[in-house]
Amino acid sequence: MDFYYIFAGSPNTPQRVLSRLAVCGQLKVRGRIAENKETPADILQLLAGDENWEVRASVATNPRAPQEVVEILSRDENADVRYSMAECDHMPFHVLDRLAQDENPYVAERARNTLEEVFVRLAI
Amino acid sequence: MTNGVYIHRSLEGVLPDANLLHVKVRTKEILEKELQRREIASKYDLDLEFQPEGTVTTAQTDRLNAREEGRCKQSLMNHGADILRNFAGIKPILPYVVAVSITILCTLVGMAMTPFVDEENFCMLYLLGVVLVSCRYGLGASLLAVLLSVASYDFFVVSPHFTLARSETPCLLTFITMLVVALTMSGLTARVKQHAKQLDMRVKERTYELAVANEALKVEVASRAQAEERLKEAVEELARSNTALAQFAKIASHDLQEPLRSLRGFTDLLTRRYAGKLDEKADEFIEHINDCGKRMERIIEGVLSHARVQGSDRPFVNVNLNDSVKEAMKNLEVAIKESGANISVDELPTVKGDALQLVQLFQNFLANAIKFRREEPLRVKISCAESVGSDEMAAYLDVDDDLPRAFWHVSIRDNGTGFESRHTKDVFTMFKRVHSGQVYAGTGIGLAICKAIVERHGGNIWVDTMRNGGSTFHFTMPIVTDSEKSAA
Amino acid sequence: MSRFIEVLLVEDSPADVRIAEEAIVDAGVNVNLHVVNDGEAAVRYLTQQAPYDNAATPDIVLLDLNMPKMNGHDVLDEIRNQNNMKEVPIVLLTASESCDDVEKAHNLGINYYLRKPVQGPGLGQLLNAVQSLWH
Repeated sequence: MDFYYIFAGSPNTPQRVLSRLAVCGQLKVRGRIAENKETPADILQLLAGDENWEVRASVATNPRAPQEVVEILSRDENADVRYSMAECDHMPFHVLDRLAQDENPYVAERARNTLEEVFVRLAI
Repeated sequence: MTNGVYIHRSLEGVLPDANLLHVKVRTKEILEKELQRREIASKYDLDLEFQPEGTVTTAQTDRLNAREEGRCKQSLMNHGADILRNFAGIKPILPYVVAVSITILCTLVGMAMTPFVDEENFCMLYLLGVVLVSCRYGLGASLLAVLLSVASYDFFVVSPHFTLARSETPCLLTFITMLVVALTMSGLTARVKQHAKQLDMRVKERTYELAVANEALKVEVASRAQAEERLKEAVEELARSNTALAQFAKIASHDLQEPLRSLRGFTDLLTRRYAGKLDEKADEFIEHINDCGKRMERIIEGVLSHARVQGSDRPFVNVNLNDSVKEAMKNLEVAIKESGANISVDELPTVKGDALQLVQLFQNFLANAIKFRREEPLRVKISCAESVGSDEMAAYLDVDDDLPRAFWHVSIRDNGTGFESRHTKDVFTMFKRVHSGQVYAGTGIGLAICKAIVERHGGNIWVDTMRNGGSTFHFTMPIVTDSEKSAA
Repeated sequence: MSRFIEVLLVEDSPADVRIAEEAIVDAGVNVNLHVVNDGEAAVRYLTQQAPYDNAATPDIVLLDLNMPKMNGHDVLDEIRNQNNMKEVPIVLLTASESCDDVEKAHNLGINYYLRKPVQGPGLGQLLNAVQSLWH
């Protein structure tokens, strides 16, 4: 049974348990931890260096991700990671701005659209 | 003194469309009125028929009586008085007095003018007098006026004065002329008056008829409103009882599940711990208990599902039926692969409904088709057409109401075993299975759930089938207009 | 040899208790099973009130949802935010198919849920997983 997977994604899981899972879990489990809003910052930092892009992308878009981590990930070499950040609307402005000038056209376009959406929402 | 129905019949010929006016009068003064009326009838050529009670009466006229009684009696009395006043019978004096006075007046004027004008011209004056009288009053007065005029003319005007000596041709001529004029004028006048009176009466009749019709309409409307009210109540009652039933089924099934679960738990334990450790019979018994437990579980699940369909209050949203079919097929992936079924789906429309239930709908149909397949590979075709509710369809479905809206008509055809066509209505009944349970496992609820879902969505469901000839399941769903769609 | 796991079972139906017991046996895990039969007793146990003054905080709580007087949701409400309970894994035992019930329980703080009737193998794996992760 996928206990680990479920625990990894649950907001009710204690932090120390998440830490343990982050270290010895499988890819899916790490991904869920990276997405989990309750995951502490140091774990996210750890997972930001994960070899799998999906985990890194989930870390980047986690609301509790520390600033430095987000900054670093916005320069991640994998375009998918950057794209995921570009479509995330709670990204800080300067990050979106940087992504809007990304060398990858898809990323840049998406970041621009997200900026527009955010501005529209603010205007309202 | 008897009460009765009096029918006043309008004069045919005078009033082009002769209508019968029924006036039901219940009063003790009937006799007096009757006498008076019969008098009027004979004079005026009216037809008054007396009919005994018990003939056609309506609620309306009943009620009208109280009101109209007074009015009609009154009007008839006035009418009668009017008529009588214009004819011989009881002779009012006034016209004759007037006739005489006018003649005297003419005479005086004539005498005064004698020195200035020729006597022959005075007959014109008398003529004027006669015309005046005959215009205003009837025949009798005008005749009197004529006689008096001629007499006066001869007596006072024509020489020799104050004699009736020269009563020859000129007087005769004058007399005849005046007479003719008088008769014509008074006849005309009388006619005109008669017409006026009749018109008046006709108006009164019509007003009365309208009042009657109005009353009838009001009664009709009131009774309709009442019927509608009763219908609404009945419908509400039905809806309430339906909900209550669904709820009851839900609760009962829910409560049934608990002991059933414990049962399953213990039989599982038995199977695991003691299978093979007791004797053969024990093993067999345990297996039976297991089977029954599983069956019970499925039945209760089915009943719960069915109750949930109707009791569901999830709001309707736009659902693309193609997606529903895809998801149903995904849920049945394994079964479809095992059976090697080929399912082809035409382009299906978007309808307004409950997404989950529509998936369930198609899933049940497909599961059925897979279950009841023959040796040859199963082929299922799902197609859709637009249709307008037709009389044939209404007759087939045994519904009375007219189907004004257009419908999507979806058919699911398979080349499976089919079943006897006499069971076409039964298949949708709960727990009714038309194939033997030994051969085909099942609880017989699937199609009942389909029916509940389709009906909840405002459609109808039916099936065409033939033993070993496959089945085609049909259901309809109201077409949602674009404006309704965008409002979703 | 792993230490004994302290399990608190909160379950009103004796049949379900029995089944859970057997499931634990089947699981082959070393367990000290404590049973309370209703929500109120559970709260008293977890707050160390009489008659459970000496009760230790369990390693895992198996909580039934449908109980009279005080049901699973109420229990969660009461004890989840207690200091000693914040890190204890709570597993919901439910027969309910209703998503709402499970969702509500998740919002109240459960870590996992098991369908009733509880079965040995599943429970065994869960207990082992919890053991290795939490302790």
